[in-house]
Amino acid sequence: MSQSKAAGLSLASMWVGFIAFAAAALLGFYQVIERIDLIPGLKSPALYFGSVSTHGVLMGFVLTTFLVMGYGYYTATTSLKQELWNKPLAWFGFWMSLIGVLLAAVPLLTGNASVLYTFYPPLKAHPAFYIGATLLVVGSWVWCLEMVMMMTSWKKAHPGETVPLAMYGTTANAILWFITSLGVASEVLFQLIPWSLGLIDTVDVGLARTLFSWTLHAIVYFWLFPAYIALYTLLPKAAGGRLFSDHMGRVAFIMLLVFSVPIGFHHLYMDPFQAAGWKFLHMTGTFMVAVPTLITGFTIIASLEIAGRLRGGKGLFGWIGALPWGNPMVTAAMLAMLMLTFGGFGGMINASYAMNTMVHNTQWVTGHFHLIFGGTTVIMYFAIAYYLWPKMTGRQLYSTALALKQLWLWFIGMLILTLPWHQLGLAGQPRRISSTPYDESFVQAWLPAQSAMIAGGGILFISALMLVYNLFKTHGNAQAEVNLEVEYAEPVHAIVRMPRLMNSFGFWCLLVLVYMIASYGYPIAQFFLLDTHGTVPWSI
Amino acid sequence: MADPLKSICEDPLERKWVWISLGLAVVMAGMLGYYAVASNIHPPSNVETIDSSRLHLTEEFAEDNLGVKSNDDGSLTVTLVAARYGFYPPSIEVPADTRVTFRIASADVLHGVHVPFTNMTTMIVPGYISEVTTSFPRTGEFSLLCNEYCGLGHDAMWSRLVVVPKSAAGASS
Amino acid sequence: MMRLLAVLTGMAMLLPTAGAEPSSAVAFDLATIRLLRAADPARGEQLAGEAKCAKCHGDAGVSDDPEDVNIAGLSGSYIYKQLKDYQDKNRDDRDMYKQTRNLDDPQLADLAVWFASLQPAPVAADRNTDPAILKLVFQGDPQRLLKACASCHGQDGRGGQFDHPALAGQYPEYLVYTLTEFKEGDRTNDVYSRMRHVAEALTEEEIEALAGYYAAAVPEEEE
Repeated sequence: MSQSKAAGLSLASMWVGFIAFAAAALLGFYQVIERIDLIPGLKSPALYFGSVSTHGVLMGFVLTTFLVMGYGYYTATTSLKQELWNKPLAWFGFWMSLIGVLLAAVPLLTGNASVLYTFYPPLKAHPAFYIGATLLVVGSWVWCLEMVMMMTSWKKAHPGETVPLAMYGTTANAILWFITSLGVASEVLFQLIPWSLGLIDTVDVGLARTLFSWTLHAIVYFWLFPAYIALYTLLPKAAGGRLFSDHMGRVAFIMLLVFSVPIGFHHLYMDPFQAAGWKFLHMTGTFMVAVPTLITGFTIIASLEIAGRLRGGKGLFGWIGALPWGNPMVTAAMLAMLMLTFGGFGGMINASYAMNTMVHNTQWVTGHFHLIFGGTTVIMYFAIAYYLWPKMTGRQLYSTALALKQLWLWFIGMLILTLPWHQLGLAGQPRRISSTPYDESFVQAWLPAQSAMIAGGGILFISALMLVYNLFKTHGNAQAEVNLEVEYAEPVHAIVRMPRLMNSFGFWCLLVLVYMIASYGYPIAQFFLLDTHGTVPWSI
Repeated sequence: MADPLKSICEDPLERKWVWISLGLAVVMAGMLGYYAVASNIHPPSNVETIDSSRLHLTEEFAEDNLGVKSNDDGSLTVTLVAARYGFYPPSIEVPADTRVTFRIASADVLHGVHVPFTNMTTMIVPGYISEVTTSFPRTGEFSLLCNEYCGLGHDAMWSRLVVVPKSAAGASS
Repeated sequence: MMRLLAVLTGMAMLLPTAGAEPSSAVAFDLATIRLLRAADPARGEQLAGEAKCAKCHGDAGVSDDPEDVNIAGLSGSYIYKQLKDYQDKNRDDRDMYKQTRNLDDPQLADLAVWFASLQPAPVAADRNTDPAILKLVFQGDPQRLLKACASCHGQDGRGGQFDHPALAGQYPEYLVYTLTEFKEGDRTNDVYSRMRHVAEALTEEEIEALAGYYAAAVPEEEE
């Protein structure tokens, strides 16, 4: 039996995420085959774009939100050693989100919501899609409330004590998600739902894209946070060492909270409706948000080095081999860091005006986010699952060997898929196409990379199935898990005192508010001051 | 001088790394800032509205005003319309090494346009006019590809750009 | 005398700079969309009866004469635009001009939504499925900048939004006639010359073959 009463909720939530993931992986495999026109009989833009839309929603909204919530609930109860703040409400939020997903699934699967994961108007989906998405997000706000209330009530019960790092990070993420999701929530509630229902005739596409950009960058940090929390708080002990610096972990989390939201315009660099000055402001923040990742890189690698040397590793790199690679958490973390290096480098290119111009909306972008999200972030989701499943179910992981193979296959498959993908973008292939009816010279040049990608997609699909199988079989495993405790990392230097600013969020929320008003205030207000022309709904 | 990070970052090597990271961010943002101010290099951003639903009835995007036109200062203005599923006029010709300003509007939904191997790229948003200025150093046949999902026929949306040697040029559609 | 000459010369020089008229006065702006939304198919049916549209277009918008035009099932917005273009003489047809000349915009909209509500003709069972033609329909020809017909006219040939008409179920002779009109510049109400560019690039044989792909079943000749 799990140590935490949240186990049921966490398992339910994470299973929804992984089932969505498996379905989306199948769709992804179909897509990588279809685009190369390999099987003429399969060819259909309606099927392809329906698949892309479903794949994007499942991977980017369902897998992520449910995994973050499940991991968050379990982290909160085990790190604080406290019950859920309000269990019925937490379950209510879960059901609301799940019903939202099922509601949105109907138009998605019937080709009535092929507006892609970014649902850019004026392409119009069936209203059920937008309403379903709203329910998913509002349900997740219940999770945000639960995290904040749990940290608050713990602090009241433990005055003057330091909030455990895992909870500090989880709460930072909850606050981040709430703030950032307000953008897309506004777009959907005030523009898209009334417009798709025919209550208003037009939407201003510029305003809609601006509101979406509010959410669009920080949402990736919402997804990334659990990966970082696991790296800081689960990995060090799993590797047999200590966390190099608890303080710097908090600094990283705080910087992510402050800098991720007010930088959305780097997704709108090429859009005409925002002036260059505002894009410049967002650009500066975009480079700042790279800093917490650089800090995390140092701290985690240093923590791993400690573990490696404690296990007898000698020399400049000898500690790497000495790490317990047989532990899925360690393997996943190392592979995640490798993919983070490639993907982060790509991100810096996207942030720079002139280089962005060469890659904007080409397949480079798609390759980039599959590498950084599908690679770094999702492999850590696997690691979290392998770590927590035995503790939540009370059963040993069905097969550690299978888990390790699955992780390596995911890494190899992801590189085979995404590295040629970047090259396709540099070779000029645009995004979001279901076929390539262009000049022969282009099509021939793209063929080798596209063929290689099919191999990557196939490997990833097999890896996805291995994950789900392993987790499923764990439930019925005869062997019980003896170590039910979540072993949070201990820092190298014991915490003597924690500055208030690094143990709370009030000041940082205020800072975000000021920063948001500066970055988004006028850019949004302008749509109400300019003489703009809205756009009517357009079919897919 | 005491390192302000000392109270929160115990390890001197990590402190160095944090300063390097901050420095990296400042240098990169600074470089972009420098070129933005000194060479006026900005992403395309001209905030101009237009009624996309009546595009062919406007003056600038009237049917007989599309294509390549010469300006008094020797530069060119290329007026294009993006409409499902093509760019109009579908074939344009410009001389190399000449300043070209593209003025593009959508007649329907969101589009994007880029010319691979050049820096001509911009989003085309209904309700707004996109403007991007560049010049093409290399001659040859290029394609303008739509790179933003605009519906089920998105794949088909592209047109041709021919860059001719500067001396052989005449403005033509 | 000199002054008159100067004035006349000045006026003559101004002529080329005066903008040409747009190819169609119809825009699918909010006003037009609201007009179509308010249109009544029942009133349209009545108007169609009064105007005897059935003489050429058949009782249910599908003609029994393969030399005439099927209009059943075309989108309301497309029919409205054609009727208005006929009325404005932006599409040249004496008979259709006479039919539309005395109708106002709401009446044109009523007629449009009435015919849009009718069942379109089915595609011929022996349609042309030559691989070369299927390639044109679904992939286009990059060398000639020809897009797949299906991209605008739908994978099933049943059309797209506003002024992207359905082609499937149209008599082949009419399709050939229309594409030839675009090719020779006799029909010009395709805003931004979208169809003129396409038709100019197609050969006569391809036009015939494409018509055979989208063709409605030609009814048996009556003795």
